[in-house]
Amino acid sequence: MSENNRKIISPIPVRTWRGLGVNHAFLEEQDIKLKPYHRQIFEKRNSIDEFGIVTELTEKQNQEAHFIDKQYKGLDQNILEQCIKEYNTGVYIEAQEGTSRQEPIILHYTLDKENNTLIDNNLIIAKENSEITVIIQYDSKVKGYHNGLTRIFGKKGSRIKLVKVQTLSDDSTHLDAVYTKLEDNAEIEYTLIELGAKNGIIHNQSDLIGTNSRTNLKMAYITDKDRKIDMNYIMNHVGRETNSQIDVKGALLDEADKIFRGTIDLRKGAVKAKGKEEEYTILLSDKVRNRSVPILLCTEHEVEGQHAASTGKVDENKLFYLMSRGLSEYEAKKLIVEASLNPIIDQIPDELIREEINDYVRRKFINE
Amino acid sequence: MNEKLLEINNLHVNTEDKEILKGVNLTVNKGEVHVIMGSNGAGKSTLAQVILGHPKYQVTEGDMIFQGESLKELKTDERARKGIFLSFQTPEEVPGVTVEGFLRSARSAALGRPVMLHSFRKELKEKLELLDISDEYASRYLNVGFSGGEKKKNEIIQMMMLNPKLAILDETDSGLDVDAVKIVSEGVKQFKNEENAVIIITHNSKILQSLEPDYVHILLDGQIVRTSDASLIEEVNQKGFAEYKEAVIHA
Amino acid sequence: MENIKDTIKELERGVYDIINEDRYRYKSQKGLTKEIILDISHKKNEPEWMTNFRLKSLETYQNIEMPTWGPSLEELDMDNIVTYVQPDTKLNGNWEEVPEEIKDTFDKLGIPKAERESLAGVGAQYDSEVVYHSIREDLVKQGVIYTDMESALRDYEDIIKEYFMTLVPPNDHKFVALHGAVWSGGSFVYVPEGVEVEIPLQSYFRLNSPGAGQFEHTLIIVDKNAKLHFIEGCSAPKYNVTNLHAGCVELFVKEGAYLRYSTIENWSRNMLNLNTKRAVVEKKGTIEWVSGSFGSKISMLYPMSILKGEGARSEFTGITFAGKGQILDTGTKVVHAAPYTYSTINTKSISKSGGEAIYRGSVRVAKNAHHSKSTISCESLMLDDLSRADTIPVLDIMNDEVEIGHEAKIGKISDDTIFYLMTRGISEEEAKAMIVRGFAEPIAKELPLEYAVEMNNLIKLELEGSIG
Repeated sequence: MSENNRKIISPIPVRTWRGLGVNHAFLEEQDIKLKPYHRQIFEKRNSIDEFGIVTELTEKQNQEAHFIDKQYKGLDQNILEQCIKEYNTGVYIEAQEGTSRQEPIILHYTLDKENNTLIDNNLIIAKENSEITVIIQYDSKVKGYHNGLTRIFGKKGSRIKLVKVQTLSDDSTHLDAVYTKLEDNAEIEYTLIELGAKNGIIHNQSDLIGTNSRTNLKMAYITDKDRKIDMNYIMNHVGRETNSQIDVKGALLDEADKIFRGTIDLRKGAVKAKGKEEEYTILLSDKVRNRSVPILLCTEHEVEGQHAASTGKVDENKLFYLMSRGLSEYEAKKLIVEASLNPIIDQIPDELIREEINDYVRRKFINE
Repeated sequence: MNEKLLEINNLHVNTEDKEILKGVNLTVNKGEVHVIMGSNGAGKSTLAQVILGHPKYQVTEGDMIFQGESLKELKTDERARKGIFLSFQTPEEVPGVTVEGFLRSARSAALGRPVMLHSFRKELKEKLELLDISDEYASRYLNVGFSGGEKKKNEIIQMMMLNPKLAILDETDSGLDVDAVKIVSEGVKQFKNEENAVIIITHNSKILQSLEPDYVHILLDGQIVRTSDASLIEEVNQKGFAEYKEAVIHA
Repeated sequence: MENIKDTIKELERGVYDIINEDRYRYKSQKGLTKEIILDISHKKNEPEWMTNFRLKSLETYQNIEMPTWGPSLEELDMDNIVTYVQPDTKLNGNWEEVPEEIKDTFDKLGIPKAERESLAGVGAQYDSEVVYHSIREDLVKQGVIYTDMESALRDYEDIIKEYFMTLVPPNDHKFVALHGAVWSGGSFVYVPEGVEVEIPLQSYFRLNSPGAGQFEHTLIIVDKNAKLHFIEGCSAPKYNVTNLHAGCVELFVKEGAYLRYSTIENWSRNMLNLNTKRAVVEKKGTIEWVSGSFGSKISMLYPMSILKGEGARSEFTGITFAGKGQILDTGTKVVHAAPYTYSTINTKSISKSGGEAIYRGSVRVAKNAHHSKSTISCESLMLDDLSRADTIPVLDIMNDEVEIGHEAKIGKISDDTIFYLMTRGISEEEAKAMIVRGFAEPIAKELPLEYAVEMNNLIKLELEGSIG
């Protein structure tokens, strides 16, 4: 593969040595023919109730997403523009002020033969003191191209839960960007599960603008075969007493290649802010490549910043314990991986989806 | 005898706009042992920290007089150098600073001149032995990796080495096993004389068995609601604080 | 008030800031051309291969771009840097023969005193050339070589030819290419098989000439099962023009050998310190780096350990103190290139008064390096909100039979800890200084006593004017 047909996208907030290949993600140039996407993605079309609005995204709403940072480029200017200007589907969700919607809103994006190109553009506005849960699923049995953008605006005191589950086919391309802006006392909890796609490139920027705004990002992945996954998570602490947490756990099998890039930026003025990132990777093959870049940037002194990353093979003592109870080595390893991902998967407030994920994880191991 | 050491008058204290102490009065004379009891959140630790001037608290009314001088305008280290000591409930860890180095700095700050190394070391060794702590603690970093019991004993060693006029022990007995409580109270007993005074903040009475308090106070909801002699301890052990709480509500 | 404090601070830095008259025997033209390189090489009477090496490096230099990461080096104008300044003296083996003025400077920096008291050998470089070198007789008898690079090139040409810039090749990055073209001075050490040098050797680098560059080359070979501790000190007075330091250190640690390389760097605040240091460690060998970065305007310094032989080890202990106007981008790189290799990284940084301390590091575990272990810990202390503390580590792991752990923390001095110390009668200022010294203590205890004292003095100097 020559350098020429690889595109450089998703830059890291601060660059480091070029030879390590972590300053960007790489995307093989491909000829994407834009075509319409016709599948229904949520149960009731265009519902408006006492909790708010769930509709297909209108051009007017798309244009009105002013809250987004002007500097925001997503994975890359062109990829972002494709989502904003050429999207072939998308949803607008608004949580009514002061309401608390208990039932999660589920958006189910499936790629199939007729609909194998998905450019989704989602907009979630949580008004003052509202509570909302949104689950977005991406899956496919066929080779497909997915480029998605989800923009989220948490107004004062709002609480948002966003669950994303990706189980695209092993030959699909998956580009995913999430941008969140939070006002005073707003909170977002991300539960992100990445299990499929040949090349998954994920970008998440959360701007903690308001005082006491909070993000909590939990992410679980399993990457096998010769698949690649690239994460670029950026937490910008602007407001006072803001709090962010990144917690990433995953397992690498076969010849998988993973890059985790997580940045906590504690900016001047973010007094009493706290940022914490943790990453744990289990390696299950000697042909994997595991790269981690946990960055802390700090220009305010009244803060606490922390990160920890660890990597290694499955804990020998645990393995021994399980095998002494009659499990095969493989079974035992599988169990340990599941056990480390379960606390994250268990966050998903939908039993059916949890079951689907567990099935998927099991299949990953049986494929061996 | 009966020379006044500390006098607290109508002390009101806020933190983060919330009133914690609501008019505390307390007089401690030389040679006395005072005990302050009270339920969780009553303001006991706040009182201890305010006497030493923790910047987290604001005195909104009243005053604290130590040997005829108001403490209000003094910084924490100045209060310490006047002879007030606080044994912390949760002592801070200070990596890279050894117990011995720290004690020498504190002692020379109090004296205003460098300490004599030889006699200092000898004295420290004696105190370590008294509290049943091995010599190597002197070269360990201050409270880093210490068990709960070791931290508390370390506080008592600091008290003995700095020899204050007034020692405030904030739940020094909590988290200690029976033997350790015995050792600690032995240390306090050795320290205590007619020229100094001790305020003991505690939840349980074990530490008091060998210390013979002169006064026992019950602090509830930011006020001292009852003061009596040592017999009050037994009363509290039997009845709990509920009755005194009601007394506050009715008052 | 701030001004007065700054003035006092400047005065106390005095010993480092002694400026001697810029007296030299020969000084090259400013800038960088083929003619200048040829001129330097001829002046030094070098063998032809070295002249060609220099010219090839120059070509490489001209073809490599500036780094695309890290601090901006905009102010570096190579056309204005004098690359070669030959001091007005010959190399001396007797301290008394060193010219009064130069001797005086080193005296004040404590160099000959250090030699008398605790060193096995001393080298002192003044601008581009080494002016003094000595080594204890008993070590010479055991076959230990400690000399300046120019003499080494003359007396041990074969060894130099075999090793010189093979570990750090000129095409590695722009400033080593520059180094390859204009290098001058530095030390050569060879410790023969099985010889344990129990007391440290020391080289001191002093840059006096304004607007000059210093490009010393240090080459150390510690042969099988031998042992050495080498100390490097650097300083320069303060000028209004930019000085450049682009030295190169190549360390070869052979099977079962042990090398500790300690540096206290206190360049003046007009120095761009773009130094490259690298060690290759053979089977069961050990490299230990102890690195204190206090001076310079901009530093980019990342000593690298290549653990090439099975069971090789590296340990990096570093402290960086960035004050007003300083950008200190420091860290370390480790490559685990063989099975059962071990690395430990322990760094601390302090930033104050607008200083920027950046930890940048990488740990790579190659495919074959099974059963390797690495532990990384980075801590940053921010003393005010004018400053910056960044941590930019990279882990790159290609084997599953490994244990890698990384931890980093950023924070300020806790108010509760200050209160605790103050309740023991210690003033706020002293409490803060005590906490900072405690923070740096794990590094200080790795240094020889007089260097630990120097480091504590530097911390004290740095803290004055910022606290209170």
